[in-house]
Amino acid sequence: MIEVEGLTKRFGSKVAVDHLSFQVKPGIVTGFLGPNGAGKSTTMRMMLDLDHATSGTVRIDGKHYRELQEPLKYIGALLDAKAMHGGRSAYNNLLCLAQSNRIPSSRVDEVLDMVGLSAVAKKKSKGFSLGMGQRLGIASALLGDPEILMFDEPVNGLDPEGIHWIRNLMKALASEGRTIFVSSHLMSEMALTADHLIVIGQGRLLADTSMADFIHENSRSYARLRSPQQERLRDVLHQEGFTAVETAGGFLEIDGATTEELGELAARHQLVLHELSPQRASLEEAFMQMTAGSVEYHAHSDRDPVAEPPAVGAGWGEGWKKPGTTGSEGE
Amino acid sequence: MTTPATPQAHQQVPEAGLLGSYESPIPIRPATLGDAVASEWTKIRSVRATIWTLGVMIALMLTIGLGAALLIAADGGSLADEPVLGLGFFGVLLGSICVITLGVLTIGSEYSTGMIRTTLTACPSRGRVLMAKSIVFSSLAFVVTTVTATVVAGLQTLILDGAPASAGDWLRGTVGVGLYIAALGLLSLGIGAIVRHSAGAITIMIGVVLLPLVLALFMFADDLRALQLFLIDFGWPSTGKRTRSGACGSKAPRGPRSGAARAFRQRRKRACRGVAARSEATRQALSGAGRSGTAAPAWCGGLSRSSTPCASACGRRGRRTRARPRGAGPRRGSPGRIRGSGTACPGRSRR
Repeated sequence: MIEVEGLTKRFGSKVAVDHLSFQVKPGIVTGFLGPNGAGKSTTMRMMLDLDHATSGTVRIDGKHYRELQEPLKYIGALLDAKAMHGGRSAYNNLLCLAQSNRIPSSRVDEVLDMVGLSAVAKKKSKGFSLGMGQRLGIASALLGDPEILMFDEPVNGLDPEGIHWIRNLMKALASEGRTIFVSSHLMSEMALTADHLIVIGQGRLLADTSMADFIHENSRSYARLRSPQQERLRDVLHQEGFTAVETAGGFLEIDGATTEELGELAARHQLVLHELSPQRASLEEAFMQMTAGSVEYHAHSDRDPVAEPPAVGAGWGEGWKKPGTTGSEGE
Repeated sequence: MTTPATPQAHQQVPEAGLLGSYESPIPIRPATLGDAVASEWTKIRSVRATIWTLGVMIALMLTIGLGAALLIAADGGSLADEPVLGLGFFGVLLGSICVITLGVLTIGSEYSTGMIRTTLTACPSRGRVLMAKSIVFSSLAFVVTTVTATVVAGLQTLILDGAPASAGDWLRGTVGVGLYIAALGLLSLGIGAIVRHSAGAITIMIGVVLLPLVLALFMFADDLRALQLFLIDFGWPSTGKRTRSGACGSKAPRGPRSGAARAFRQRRKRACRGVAARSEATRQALSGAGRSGTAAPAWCGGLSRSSTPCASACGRRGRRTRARPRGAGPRRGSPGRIRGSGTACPGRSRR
């Protein structure tokens, strides 16, 4: 159980984390979501007492991190896969961590075996691939067999096999009753692993909700229609009180209508339909809409309207743009 | 937007500590400083930098110390009334660079690799981490240096005949050297922890140790003589007791004198007469600077720092200084007098 209360971190005049309060509950995977630069890593670093909070507290099982005598047995963290001395072998990198927490050295072999690095245990971690480094980082998090595990973007740069492995590992660890806190900027990844979601943007809490609720609240469902009799179809829909939006490719999108009623409507008016399908906006879209106002670094492009955040009053973009430049220009 | 927490989670108000439903089979025993020391020992022995820097240091101390002894043996075979132990120190000066490097790297590499985050996650007490590092590194530096210095001193004593060294001289020449190097290493570790950047910290430390000597080499003006002597005094590791410092041409040592200091003084006088025969005014300046024997830098850990740059050092220095009058014009150090100094130096006497 991790409790974060009023956590604030300032770097000079910039507020990286702004009065963040949430709880990470045991037995489930809690996803910590936010765009790049939202303050996820800073929050995690403050949880581990690697950064000093400007104000606010973090309690791990009711204690401050510094009060933990052998922290690896309470909380295992993967912040940065490469936070190891490259010139040291995987085994020795883990051994020195184990020794500082009185973990028997036999456990080092165990975790190396668990993450599948036994064969390269004596090799220098410098030569490890990204995936191997990530596995080594996870091994170090598992070293103390802790009840709380914290992973910062664990799937970054992993191949599909590695992603699959981490996903299952997290689920298996949570099912043992552990507290899993995992950060990501990929909504799609979270949708597959997390049971609970904490979304932050520009250091502020945007959502603290269960995954099911988030999906329910944020995914827009609509029906998509395509017909050779587009004009007539639009008239009919209009008469019935549906608002149809025409999209590229000659599709009509109708919010808040089921395919059943639309199909029956078309049949009644003897309209030919080439397509009638229920659609759900992806969680990715929902996430982007939620965080649009707080995206710190985004590209400007004419081609990709999705990447263009909706204008938010006094949002991020206004400050630095030189007067006279248009919003769609790249910097 | 916010969903109420599950009732079960709410009941688990932090009270007793262990709240998660998962219990590890690994027993929890409180970790101590000893565990941190064990961890740091694993760290220091498992990187190549340790082997390389300490290996190079041992090699430097052995080759330079023994080389000096063998050269003198080939030249004359005897140091007459001079103790042999002082010869080991040429290697120590260069060896100290290795210790500085390792001391800085011990903490600096943690920052450069990012290991420090893992280390501090595993041991959140900064004080314990630093203390463990200091203990492990200084002990290692002390043991390695003391053993090497003892070996060098023993071999030199076998190769050369010299004045018999007292127990105190032996202590200073072995354990003293070890303590000096360990203290220097600790300072490097401290600077490394402050600067958090290996190259920067190494540069600072090498500057602190070597710059005074290098600067002193180029201080030819009479007005700077006092400063030059002070810098040499500061920069030169030596075993002598609290004698007055000085390089070539310095006046008689003050304070309690060991046999070594006496012998060095005589030797120095002979060796450097030519170079350092300066005006009376300069001499006075020198005697003023001579008191710098008390100005032991705080970081040398209570070791007395005074000079016993031995004869060959003087000879060397004499030679270097000699280049000046030639290039810089006809001044007091006329070539003839310099040649006179050369004959007094062991390396030149058979020329």
